[in-house]
Amino acid sequence: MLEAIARRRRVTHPAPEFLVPYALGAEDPATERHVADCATCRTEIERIQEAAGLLRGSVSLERRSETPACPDELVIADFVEGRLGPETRAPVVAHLLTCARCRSVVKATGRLAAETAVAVQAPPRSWRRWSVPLGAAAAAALLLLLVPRRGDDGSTPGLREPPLTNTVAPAPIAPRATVTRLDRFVWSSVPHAERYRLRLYDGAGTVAWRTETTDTFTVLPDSVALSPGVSYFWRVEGETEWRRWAASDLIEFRLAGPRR
Amino acid sequence: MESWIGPLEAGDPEAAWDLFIERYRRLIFGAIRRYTGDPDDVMDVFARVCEALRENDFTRLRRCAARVDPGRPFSTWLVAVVHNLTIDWFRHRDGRPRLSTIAATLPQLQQRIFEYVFLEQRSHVEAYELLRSRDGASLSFGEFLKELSATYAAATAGRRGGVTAELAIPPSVSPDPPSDPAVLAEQQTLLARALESLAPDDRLAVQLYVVDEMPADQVARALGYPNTKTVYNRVYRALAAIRASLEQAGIKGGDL
Repeated sequence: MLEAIARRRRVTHPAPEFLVPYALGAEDPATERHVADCATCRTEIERIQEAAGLLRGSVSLERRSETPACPDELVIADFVEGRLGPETRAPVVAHLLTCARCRSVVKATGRLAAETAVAVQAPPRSWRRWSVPLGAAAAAALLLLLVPRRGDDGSTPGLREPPLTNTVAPAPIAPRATVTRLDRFVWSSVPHAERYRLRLYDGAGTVAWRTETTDTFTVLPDSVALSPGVSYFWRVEGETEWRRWAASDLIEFRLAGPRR
Repeated sequence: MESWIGPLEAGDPEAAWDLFIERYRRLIFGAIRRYTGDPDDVMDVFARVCEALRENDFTRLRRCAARVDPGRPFSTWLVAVVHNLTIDWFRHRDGRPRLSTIAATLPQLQQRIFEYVFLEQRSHVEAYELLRSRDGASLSFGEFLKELSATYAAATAGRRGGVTAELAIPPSVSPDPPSDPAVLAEQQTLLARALESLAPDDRLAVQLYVVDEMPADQVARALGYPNTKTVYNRVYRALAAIRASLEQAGIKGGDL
């Protein structure tokens, strides 16, 4: 029965959103398994790599020097944040297509904005003990664990969003954005990871709590008090190899309710 | 939200500065440390960033403050500023002597490549032509690219590696590089023609994702695509157009 299902699944080739990042170096065990048995996809990957290799050759003709036409940092920041409409974006896009220097600023800004998100100093806040209805929260978290995730194209749960780097990082599931209650953190599993560690930061970037577990969720202890209405951040890392940790994105959330 | 803007607009820039630096000091240090691990460098660049933000009666901050609204993350602008100031500081103020010490340990050929590509910011092709004409080096373009890769790897290792990497365009790693810049130029003309049918946004998505190796989620955000799937689909379409164009021109991969 299982073999029959496996045979049937092989008939469908991975969609571009899986094939492209895999061909360009991202690790993706599900696509890798398919490609190992599929000559059609192997040929397709070779063709993707060949075209990408030619495209990458263009770097040898470019210079990374500033020109009077280079946009200022406000425009770059608005572009990175996706705040430019089609009309205001058009001249910026036209410039970026010809300017390696500005593309490198765009790339660096995107990276730095993501990496330094917790470093913004916030004014000191008064901490308040906050309790949660544990039963309801545990049920919600369990539901999250049991419901299989689907790709945004409705593909099989086994083919998840491919990673952006060579390592597969755990994907934070909950909490995200505004939550009415919180007693645990839930994330997706990572192949071969036997341990996960989690850090919770307050708005000032200080580690408010850290823990390590072998599960893909962890319970927030009563000793950690969170205030409603203010931002917190969390990140989880999976140990993919001995002493090598793959980190998730930093996730912001806040507890519903008036800020105190 | 940005408490420093009030005092700035009310004519008390020093009070505004105190609030600003209290809030963003860690972000500025964090961003600088992504480029250099040398504590002296970090402090020097931090001082330069403060100076640049304060100069001309806080012009830079005032210009940004005038456009801040709740939906516009101020920190994104600030990291772009810190990035540019960090790179400029290394390049112009006392970057050259320090960077030259990085090159001092390299073989002579790689020292010249370092000078042309990192210090003079010439393109790879320009550096190759200068090596041949000015320095009398006799090597193929493919051999030059290998030397360039070795130079790039050596120069971007170590504590200042992060900032040095920002001074030059990384070499493209290809198993079968063109033997001559003229062949490369021909390839690029062909590619440009193949990509003509794509919208500029899509061409840029391909450039940012494939060539500059920017993460797909950041490409999607910048270009207003609904998700990363759109980026992958546009890249797939663009690469298919390139292949079709090559086949139409009767060129196979091995020919290039």
